[in-house]
Amino acid sequence: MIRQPSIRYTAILFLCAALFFTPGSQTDLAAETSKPILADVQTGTIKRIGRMSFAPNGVLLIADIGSGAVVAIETDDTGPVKKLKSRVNDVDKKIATALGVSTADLSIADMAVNPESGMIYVSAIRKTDNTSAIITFDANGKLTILDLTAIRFVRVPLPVGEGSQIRNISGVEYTDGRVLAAGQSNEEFSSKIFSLPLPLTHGKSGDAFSTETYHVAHGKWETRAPIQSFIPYREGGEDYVVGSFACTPIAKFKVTDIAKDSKIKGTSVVELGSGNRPIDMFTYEKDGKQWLITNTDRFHHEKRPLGPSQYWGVRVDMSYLTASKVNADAARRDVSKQTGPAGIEVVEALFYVRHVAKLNNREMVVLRDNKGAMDLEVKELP
Amino acid sequence: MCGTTNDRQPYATMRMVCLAVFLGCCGILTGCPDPPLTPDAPYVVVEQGVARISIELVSLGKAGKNLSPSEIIIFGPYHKATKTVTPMPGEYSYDNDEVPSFLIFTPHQRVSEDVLYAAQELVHGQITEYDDSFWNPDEDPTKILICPPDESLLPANHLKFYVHFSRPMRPTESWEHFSLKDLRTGELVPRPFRHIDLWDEQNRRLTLWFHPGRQKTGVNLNEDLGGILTAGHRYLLLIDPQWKTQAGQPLDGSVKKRYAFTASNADHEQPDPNNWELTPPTLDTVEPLIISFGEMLDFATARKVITACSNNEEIIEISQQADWDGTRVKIFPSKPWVAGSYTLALNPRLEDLAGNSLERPFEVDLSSETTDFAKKLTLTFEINQ
Repeated sequence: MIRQPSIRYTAILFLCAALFFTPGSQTDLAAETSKPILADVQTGTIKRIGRMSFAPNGVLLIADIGSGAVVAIETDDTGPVKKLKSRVNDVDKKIATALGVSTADLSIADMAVNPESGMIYVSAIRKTDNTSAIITFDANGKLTILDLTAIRFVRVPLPVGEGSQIRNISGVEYTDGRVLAAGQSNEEFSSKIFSLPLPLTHGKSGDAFSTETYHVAHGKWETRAPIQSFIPYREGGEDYVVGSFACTPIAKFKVTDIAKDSKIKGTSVVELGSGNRPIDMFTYEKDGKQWLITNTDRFHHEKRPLGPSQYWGVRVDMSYLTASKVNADAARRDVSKQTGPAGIEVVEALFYVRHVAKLNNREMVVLRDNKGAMDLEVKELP
Repeated sequence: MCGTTNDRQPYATMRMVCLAVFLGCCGILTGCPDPPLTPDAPYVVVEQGVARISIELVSLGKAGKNLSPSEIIIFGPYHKATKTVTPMPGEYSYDNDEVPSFLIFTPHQRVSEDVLYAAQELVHGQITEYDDSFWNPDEDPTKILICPPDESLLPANHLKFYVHFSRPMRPTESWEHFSLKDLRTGELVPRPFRHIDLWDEQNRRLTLWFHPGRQKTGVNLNEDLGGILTAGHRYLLLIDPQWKTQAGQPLDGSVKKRYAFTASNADHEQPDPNNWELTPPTLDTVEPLIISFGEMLDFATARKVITACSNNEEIIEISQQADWDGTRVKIFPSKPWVAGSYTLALNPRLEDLAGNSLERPFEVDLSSETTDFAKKLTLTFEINQ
């Protein structure tokens, strides 16, 4: 059956586009405690969990890759901060044992850290029955399986386009006034950014916005490109999304450009070198300077290893994001060295790291592949 | 045809090819035998007692040059104690006369269920046995259907496959269960697939992407490594037979192991409705309007090509059904067609196999003066009294 055009729906979207976008600020979760984040909270369960991140007040945002929705959970985990005291070895084996399977039947989807408590959250999928689980590790490294049958949550379905559903959500992030998500359809080669207004309301997706993202390669070729990982970012009073495109550079675009059916063109600001699939991203401040951390899976590792592992990470001086040289002239990491040009540095602590999350401006939590076993530990930021 | 990347067991068991109707009207499926010893080992399909034994020519290496077919492979009853194959008489042929990838042997006699057979590759002497399980078809295999269909001619910048399974699959890290073999070079193509799980809600249809960074002009991976496919080369898309269904059943003999296609020149042209052919339906029937695209388009978007159908501005409720190869779509009315002037609104996102849509090419050369790429987005047809 064909879809009937909905003038009313379109009008609502445009009205919201006009009213909704107001300048926000770079997320500071500790300061965001008073605004309502969730509405019409449900009880029940969720099943397929992918990427995760934290919003204020212990709200865990997760990508439900099974239903193409963003789910927000009230964890009641609001502190005080107690960071992991010492390394936890064999995290994958411990999770697999807790879930009653071998590590071969376990897939770790993501890791997030609640900055308000230091609690570490790992999402995993038990392959034998395709059931998802969220596992927490406290300061003592104690493992607890979150009871997903007794959670309070809201589910916000991402809007569908032309009958195709979003079947992969590559990131979900809170920023001032909204939640952003990036997703991809299982049919069209379209990567979309969704802006979900606060409070997130169960079942309400009508005033979400979606758009395609375009990428310019070498200033000459313009193609659609899926976003692999992203963070919200504020610059000169404007809100931006800084994203890593699959196989392409770090690029940014304005949040205010997100409108129904618009085509956003990302401006490439840093090129890390080809064949690196970005995994996680976050920013931190040190000595008055803003840095971006991202870890990647190196496509070229076997033929052109960068270090001891295909998993490696880099930190980038955030001033590159405001540099005048962009796209074809954007800064390129010197692939022949560990460091360079100035402000683009390979981070040794991120070798072998499958997932990394910010704990605070001094420390990060890493989930490291240690010769086939996964270890969890807190490392200092460079 | 069937094949595999698997090298799990020295004793190859083979099962009969089965033909099954899959997903209602989707098409004909070929089930296939268990994996042979290596990806290059001969493989056999049997239909109604008639066997066809195929071997990849590239697997023979230089030693296979200038040999007659009967010096390459024999097939027949196998005496296990003496490791002797008694050759059956038969005919040799090639899958392609100009650039053959496979040598095919067809025995004159029908094969018998009571006999142990073997194929012997004579260049290296390897023997692959086919025991009684070869004759017993898996009564309940997981059926697999890949779109575009087997033996298609795909552009070198082809983007994706839709892999349908008759059972829900374990959906994580799905790309690990596929490999791509270039039959011209005999090599597996390194890292051809994008690392992303894109399933339908039931985990029965996987969208398997070629790595877009290698398929797009000007993107760094494309410049560093080149594209994934080379025009003129023939390829096998191989599925790991040990991949399990959600219930834990390995695909095993269910895998359609020899999904083959040939790469043609890259396609940078958008689909153009001006070139489509409409076959109008008959008055007072619910026969479909047929739109022939004149090329293979993306199956998933082809079945949503019409966004609205109207007769003199009255919206007509319709349903759409695309051919499995994406070359045609049938438009069915919910009520019999009446006389009138019909207008079809087209989905601008309709794509061809390389991602070029009605809206714009997959990649745009910004140095070009062309800025408006949209093709016409309406079609009209008449039904007369």
